[in-house]
Amino acid sequence: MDKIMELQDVGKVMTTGGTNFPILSQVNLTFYKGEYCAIVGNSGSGKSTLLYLLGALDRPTSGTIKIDNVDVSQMSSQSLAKLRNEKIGFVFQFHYILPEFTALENVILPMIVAGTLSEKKRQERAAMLLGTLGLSDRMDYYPAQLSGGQLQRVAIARALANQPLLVLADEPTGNLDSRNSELVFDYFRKLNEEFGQTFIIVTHNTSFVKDCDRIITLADGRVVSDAAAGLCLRERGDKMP
Amino acid sequence: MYLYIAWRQIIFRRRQSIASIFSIALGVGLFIMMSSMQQGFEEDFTNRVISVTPHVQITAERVRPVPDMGREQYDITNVLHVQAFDKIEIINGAAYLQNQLNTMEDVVAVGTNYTGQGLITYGNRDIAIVVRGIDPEKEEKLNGFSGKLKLRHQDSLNLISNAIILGNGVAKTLQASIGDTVTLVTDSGNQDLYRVVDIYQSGITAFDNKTVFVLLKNSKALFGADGPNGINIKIKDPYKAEAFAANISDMTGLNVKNWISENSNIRAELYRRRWINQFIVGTIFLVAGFGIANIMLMNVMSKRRDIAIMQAFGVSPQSIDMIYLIQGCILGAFGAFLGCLLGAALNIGLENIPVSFNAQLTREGFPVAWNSRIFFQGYFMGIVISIAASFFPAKKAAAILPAEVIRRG
Ligand SMILES: Nc1ncnc2c1ncn2[C@@H]1O[C@H](COP(=O)(O)OP(=O)(O)OP(=O)(O)O)[C@@H](O)[C@H]1O
Ligand SMILES: [Mg+2]
Repeated sequence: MDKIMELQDVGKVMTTGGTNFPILSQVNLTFYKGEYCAIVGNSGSGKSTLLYLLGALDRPTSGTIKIDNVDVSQMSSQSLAKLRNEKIGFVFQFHYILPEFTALENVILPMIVAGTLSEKKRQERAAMLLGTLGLSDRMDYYPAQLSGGQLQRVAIARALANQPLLVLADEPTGNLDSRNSELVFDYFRKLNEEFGQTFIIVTHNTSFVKDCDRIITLADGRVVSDAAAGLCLRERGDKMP
Repeated sequence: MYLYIAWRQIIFRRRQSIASIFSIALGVGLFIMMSSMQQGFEEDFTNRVISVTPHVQITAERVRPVPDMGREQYDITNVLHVQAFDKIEIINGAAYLQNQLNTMEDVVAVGTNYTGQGLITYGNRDIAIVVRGIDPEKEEKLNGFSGKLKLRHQDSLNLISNAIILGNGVAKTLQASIGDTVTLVTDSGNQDLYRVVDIYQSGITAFDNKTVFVLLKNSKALFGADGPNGINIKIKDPYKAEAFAANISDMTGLNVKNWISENSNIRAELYRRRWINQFIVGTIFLVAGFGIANIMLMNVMSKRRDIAIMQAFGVSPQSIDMIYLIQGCILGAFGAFLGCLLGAALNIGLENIPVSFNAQLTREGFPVAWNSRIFFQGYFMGIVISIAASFFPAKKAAAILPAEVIRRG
């Protein structure tokens, strides 16, 4: 399998008001192409922090992170932006759709930043993505005219715009009802199985976690388990109240 | 890409954008208005002064003995000196000097005159006046004399013998009008009757209140002078009058006046006013700039999430910086354009407001100079101020750390 990401002794310390807060420490992880992976852990265990590091949205305070065999710890903010644009797709709990642009334009924006496709190709691709997410009749709507679930689907289409190596999602269904959540996870799974798209997803949704190939559990900023789904759930189940 | 995003943000936040555009427009408009008015004042003042004061005026007053250089240059020793003749000073050899001046490249027109003090009486009223004996044809070339006459006849002084043109103020005080006969009396007691043929109004009250015009030969006869006591010169570039006058004075040894030095106090006042204007305009621009900076900063603060997500999908901090600078540039361009229109409207308004500034200068409407350079300057400054105002907000936007913003949701 192709190694797409490698973390060695990664640590993250945040400093607030002169005090150092260690948030992540001694994280060693390797991810492979096509993985369908969940990150779980209690609130405050450092899941989001880890996800931002994986997506080069933030820098570690120690250790090295290699994305696609390139060490990103020393890269300039400009190169990191380019790397995120080309290789990473983010989906967050909140949709972060830009209000000045239509649904279609929001999906096109990362493609404009990349500057590789012609305008016509960009339009086609954005329309295709929105279509498969069931939004073909809402493409020219402005965010103010769309529901929360629809906006989250636009955000997913945007994350997939540049055919990223890796999709990172932080509680992507946190604001959605169970029907919409199911829709999102089904779509992720379909992309993973049909196209080998890699996913790393932070979530509390147990039915989704059950469906994952790999589950990484964090506690107090450390990886406490990294295992195939069945095994992991059993371990967790033992501890759950 | 920058332009696309910047433009969308501008039209999306219509109200703030319009506020920014208006504050720039106001700054630019006021700048244009004040500069145009200032320049208008200066030009108007200059025109008025030049219309009554010759650019350069050779007087009969000797300040130095005739220099050797001048002697050689003019060849004749007795040409350029002033002769005392019954205490009447004249420029001897004026005709020769006039010819010499006419050959000079900078000279547009030359005219001789004899000017003296006298008294004018009409009915039981009399006032002290300055009698200017002129050659109407030369005077026309020197300052467009007939344009300031009520009847605008260029040749009225030649129509009848002993014709006189009264300054507007003189006519008013005497309550004399065209066709009336007045008496001129000189200090030495000579007197003669004159028929009023026209009324003169330069707009400079001090001048119009105490000047009358007669033919040069009449005034020479009246004052018993053999020649003129003044030579007026119009030169190509009136702003070179000082140097030109100094040059002629060096050559002739006579006191040569020029309009710039003669009016230096008023010009100093105009310069002072120019600085005050610039200070006011600077303040207006500063306020407009801070207004825009404030609007932009609030905008950046309220768009932290959008900036964070843009960074997440690959817009670099440098590009974010650029997007906000471009917004400043676009707002500035629109604001400055609107400001130019506003400035033009204000100028037109000013031109049509009837005003009187002081006893020295009166007219209908403010004098306004329409100068494309002022408009370009205003436009340019509008854009520069608005880019400068967006500089700090843009830096602030670029410094946003996406992970921090997104973590807090
Ligand atoms: N600027 C900061 N200074 C100090 N501590 C911080 C700062 N930002 C976050 N933390 C701490 O880092 C820890 C990890 O935060 P993180 O957001 O990664 O948790 P999480 O696992 O995503 O939690 P949740 O499930 O609630 O989203 C938390 O305990 C939080 O209090
Ligand atoms: Mg979190």
